[in-house]
Parts: sequence; structure tokens; C-alpha cells
Amino acid sequence: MKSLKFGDKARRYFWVLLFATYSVSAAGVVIDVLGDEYRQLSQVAVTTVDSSEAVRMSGASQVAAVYRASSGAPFSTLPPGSTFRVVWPDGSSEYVMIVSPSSSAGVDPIPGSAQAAPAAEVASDATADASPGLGAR
Amino acid sequence: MIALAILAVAGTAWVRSHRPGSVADGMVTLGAVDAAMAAHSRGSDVAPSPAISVARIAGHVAPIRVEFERSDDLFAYMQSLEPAVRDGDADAMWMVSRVYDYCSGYAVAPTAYTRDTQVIRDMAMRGSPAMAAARERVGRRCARFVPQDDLSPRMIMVKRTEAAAAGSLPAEAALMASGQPVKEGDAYASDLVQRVQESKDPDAYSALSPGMGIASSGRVSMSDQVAGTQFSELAWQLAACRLGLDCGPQSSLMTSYCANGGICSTDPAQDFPSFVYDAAIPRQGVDVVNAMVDSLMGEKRKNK
Repeated sequence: MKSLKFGDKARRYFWVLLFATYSVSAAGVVIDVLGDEYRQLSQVAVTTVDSSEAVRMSGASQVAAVYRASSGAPFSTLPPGSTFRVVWPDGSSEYVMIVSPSSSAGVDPIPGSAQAAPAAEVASDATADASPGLGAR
Repeated sequence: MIALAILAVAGTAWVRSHRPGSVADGMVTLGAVDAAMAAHSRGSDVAPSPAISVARIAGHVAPIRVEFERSDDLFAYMQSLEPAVRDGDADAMWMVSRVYDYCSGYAVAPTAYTRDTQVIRDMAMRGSPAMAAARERVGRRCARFVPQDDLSPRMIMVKRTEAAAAGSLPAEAALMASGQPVKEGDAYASDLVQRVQESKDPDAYSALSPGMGIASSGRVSMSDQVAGTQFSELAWQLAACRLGLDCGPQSSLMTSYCANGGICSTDPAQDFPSFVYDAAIPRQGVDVVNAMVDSLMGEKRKNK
């Protein structure tokens, strides 16, 4: 077998590395709910990684729905099997997986992916209109 | 090298998923979607491929499923199912889980849901009017549910599990699609998909569809199924429409996709198949999807 020269090897591995890097970065959707699109949604305004699973599932599902509705390509945006990272108003975050785009139970938090808010993070948005039901939880 | 190998495996799975199923005597007739496809391809020098027909295959749809679509009061509808549920009727239990799923977003926090509907409308996104209208439709039909009824996501899974235990195939399919199968293992998954396909149950096809898209990509047990791509997910859903699932503009399917998923047609008169071919499938992908649906229906397309 003919051994490759260094230049040929470098060219070959450059393209492999470029493709791999693109694949990883393309898979990393991050939705920060302090963005203009989401900050007024009462079902996410007081949600943190310490909220109950039902609250986080409902909130993340709604966030994903709004993200798709504003995307222009809703069917191909966050399809079942894909994951995204949601950053809650207090700065805490977690990864969730899309299970179904049409179900109320369409989002599953990924166990072990929750991260507490960074210590220097500013407190959550005080102007968000929180639901009394959610606040009581 | 690893990335190229992954591409090769995914490509092989995609190609194998397009193998046609058994040929039956029935032929697919072309319907109204042709007009939409012709419009889509206007100006192109390539003739449009005929899209799958939206015409349903004649078949019996259970009255309780018809009533679910027609009822304006899903609380009363669910109460009417209670005797059958107590008797262990699997289909009644499945329909209860569908009510839970349809109404959960509203029922867990009705005030917040209504307020957020207005917020979504005020966002003035392209999909805002349709999404707000779908959420209002959910609110109207689920108005009598309160948070104390506990229509939480956890209870949706509980109800599906109960229905599956009673023998409901759609519930079993829904559990597998949501990553909580009744049994583990590739053999079970493959067998379930086969049973769903043989049942020709529209609810089972629809319930299975989210699990047959990208979520099943790379699964060896699905390599000989219509599975692994977003097109395959949509194909299962389109096949469900052909088998009798209500896929009309105001159907629970369209409403759920929009209210829960943000996947909304800007045309309020558009049904699900038309919406899919209009918004999800490029013109050059129509033949691929048609072949998938034909495979799921066990039919052979007649080319004009």
C-alpha cells in the first residue's frame, strides 16, 4: 500500500475534522427563555431546574413550540429525537429531548443534564407575569 | 473516517427503508393534493410527481373515536367513557389517554394557558394567529377540566400504560414512541412495528409515527422498516390519514401539532396531508414519501 505524504494526510484529516466539528455545533440548539420571544410566557417565567418535572416538561414543550412557530420550517425544526438546551430565567439550564411534536408530553428532560445557575448570574426576570398556580408549587 | 462510516450506515438504513412492501391488489388513486403539487412546481421544467391521495380507504372507524373528534366538551366525553373503562375496554382507555394528552397543556394551568395564548398572539410571529386559534380551540373543548383533575404529562403516560395493559395497540405504540416501551429489546420493537402495520389501525400508525423518524435512526431493528428519517415519520402519519384518522383542518391532529408543537399551517382550510406536502416535503422528495406510504399501505402506485 502506498503511504501518504504528510500533506495528503493533513488534507484528508482536515476535512474529516471540519465535518465532525460542524456536526457537533449544528446539533447544539440553545434556547434562552429570557429572550424576547419567551420572557412573557407565564408557564416558563418562574421555572428552574429545581421545579417539578411536570412544570419543566410543560415549559420546555411550550418553548419548543414557540421556537418552531417562529422558525419558518416547523416540521424540520426540533424533530422527535433531537435535543436542545433550555436556559431558564434564573440561569439554570438542562438538556431536553423532543419525543413528540404534537403531544403535551412531547418533551423529556434528560436526566443528569441539569446545571444550576452560575453564582454570578443576575436573579430571574422580576417583570414576568407568573401564574399563581405555578408559584404555589 | 468515523464520520464517513456513520454516513455510510445511515445511508444504507435510509435506502433499505425504501424497499417496497408486499404488493396488494388495491391501487392508489390520485386526489386533490395533485393541484397543490402542481402549483408548487409551476415554472419548473420537471413534471411534478403525483402526491399521495388524501382520499381515505373505506373502513370502519370506532364510534368513540369519531365522537372524540366531534365533541365540544371533552370532559363530558371522558365521563361517558367511564363505564367502558371500568369494564376494561382497551379502546375506551386509549381514548381517555388521548383526552389527557389533548387537554393537558390547558388543564394543568388554565389561567396561565389562556394568558400565554394572548402572549403568543401578541408575538406576531408568522404562526401566531394559527397557534392562538388552535390553543383557543383546546381551551374551549377542555374548559371543564381543572388542575385538580391532574392531567399532567405523568398521568398521560399512566393512562397509556393502563390502556396498553388492557390490550390497546395504539397505546403500546405511543409508549414505545415516547421512549417507554412495554418491553425492552429490539425483538419486541420490531414485532410491535410489524403488528401496527398489519393492524391497519389509524390511531396505532399515528401513535407510532414520532418514534419512526429520526429517533429510530441507526437502530438495527428498524433497518427493514420505514424508519430513520423525518420523511419516514411523516409517512406513518400520512398513512394514518389514509386509514381513516381524522386529519382535517380542525381535527385533533392538526390542533395538537399546532397548539402543542407550534407546527401550524397558515391556511386554516388546509388539512394535514396537504400541509405536509406543502410545508415539509420538497418537490423532489414527493416520490420518496409516496413510496414510503405505499409501502406502509402494502400498495403499488400506478403511474399515469
